[in-house]
Amino acid sequence: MMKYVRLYRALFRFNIQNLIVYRAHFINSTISTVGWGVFQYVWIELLTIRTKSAFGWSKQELVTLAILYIIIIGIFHFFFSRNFDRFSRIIDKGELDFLLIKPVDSQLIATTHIHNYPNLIRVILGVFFLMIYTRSNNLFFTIQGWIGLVVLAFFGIMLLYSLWLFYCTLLIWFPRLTNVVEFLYTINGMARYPAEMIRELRNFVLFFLLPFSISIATPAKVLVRGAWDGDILFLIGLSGMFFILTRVFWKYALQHYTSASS
Amino acid sequence: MGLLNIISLHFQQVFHHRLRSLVWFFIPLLNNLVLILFWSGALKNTIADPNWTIYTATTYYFLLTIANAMLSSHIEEDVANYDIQQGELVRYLIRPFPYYWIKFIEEIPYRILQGSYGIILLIFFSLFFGTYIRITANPLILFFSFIIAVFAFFITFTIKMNLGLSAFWFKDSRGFFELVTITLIIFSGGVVPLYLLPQAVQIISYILPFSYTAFFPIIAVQGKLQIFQLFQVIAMQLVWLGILIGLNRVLWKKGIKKFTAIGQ
Repeated sequence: MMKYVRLYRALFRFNIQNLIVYRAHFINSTISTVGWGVFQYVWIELLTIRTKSAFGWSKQELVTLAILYIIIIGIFHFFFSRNFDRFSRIIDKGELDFLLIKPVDSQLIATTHIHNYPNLIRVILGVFFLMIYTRSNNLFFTIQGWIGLVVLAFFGIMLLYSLWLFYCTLLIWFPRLTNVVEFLYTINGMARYPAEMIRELRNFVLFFLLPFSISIATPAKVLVRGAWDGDILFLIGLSGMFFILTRVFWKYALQHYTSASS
Repeated sequence: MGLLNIISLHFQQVFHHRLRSLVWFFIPLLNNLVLILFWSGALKNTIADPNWTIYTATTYYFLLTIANAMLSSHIEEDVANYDIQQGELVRYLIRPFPYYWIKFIEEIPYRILQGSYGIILLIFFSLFFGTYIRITANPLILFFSFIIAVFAFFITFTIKMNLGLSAFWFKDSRGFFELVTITLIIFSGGVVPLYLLPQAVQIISYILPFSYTAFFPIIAVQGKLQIFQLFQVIAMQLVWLGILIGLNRVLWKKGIKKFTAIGQ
């Protein structure tokens, strides 16, 4: 265990050094990340411009959900998404070999190697939006709500991580499908909406979107409504189950990895 | 004949990677399906507007999916990263075709294939849920809508080409590209139709070129524009196209002097 703590500390140091060396890249990425963060807020403001509520969520709750999306998805992108971005390339060009021969867990090194610092700015922006919005709309949340948000956001991120890993593992068989990650960025957008939207429709075709939508809506519901309902157990259970399943799937897929030019 | 062979080769290449194109098509499709779902719940609690019902919303977002797939060019990163920064432009310079038109020919097969996915989906959806799709049946309006759609593609293509050409001066323009993309989504009606926005924002949208790339082609097909309004839209598109092509020429002439093939 201590080996992995030391490894992760070294990766943090490596990523900080990377950030200092490529400053222009950092500034550019920060501009685009902050731009998309602001866009999430503008998006929900535009959608609710003439709407009082949707699927039992009031306008204020929908906007709070969108702001929490900026924060939680920012944390997810900070830790993981850049690693998934390069999956297609490293699998197609056989560079995954270099990770597999390292004396550490292959899943850990493949999915946590790179940190995306501009997304920390996005998280800060989200916190700033949340402070301004709650103050200007006189919204007050309980301490239990805040604790619930933090705990369930952890499980939400775990669920998103498992889902992303599941889809990206498919690249071992289809390495040229470089835009799968772009597709995942789009499906992630599902988390901006209430999960009731999928449930009320009762269309099995869209049920694959449900895990994405509960990942952020559940922690948000605990914060804004103090709703400690069945969704919490569903989120915790689903994130645990998907985490184990994708772990098994990753190990299975590696047996089919045939390096470069496969 | 030679030109046809070139176009046909590009088609072959795009069709070879048709699964990738399908995934690209799924991206706007999923976004817009989710928006239809959202409005199916939100419209029950929205101030009533005859212009914005579940029928018009469904038609709008389906047409937006087709517009995103067929009319929206994504050439900027190709031009900036591969052609200018990695020096691929060299192989285009020695060809007897203007760079603008070669890139145009390269882009067309992608738009046709992804747009076809959209049209097939629209036909299927219309067969099962026909009442939800409301498109004009007036052939004259459809004809002018087609012209508006063609100019819309030229506008997005030229905007994206100009963005790509900015790489002659900037080493990393990704942040700038993303900001333009966000602006384009908002002001082209990518979130909600522009007529639902506040008056001041509508006026700004109608002045900017972005609304002529998706919003106007969509409402034209929906039959929300009279003939004289269609002419107004075409006139504005021509004005913007003139400005953007002029800018393209200036950027190209000045930029090419800065091009050093490798290590831009």
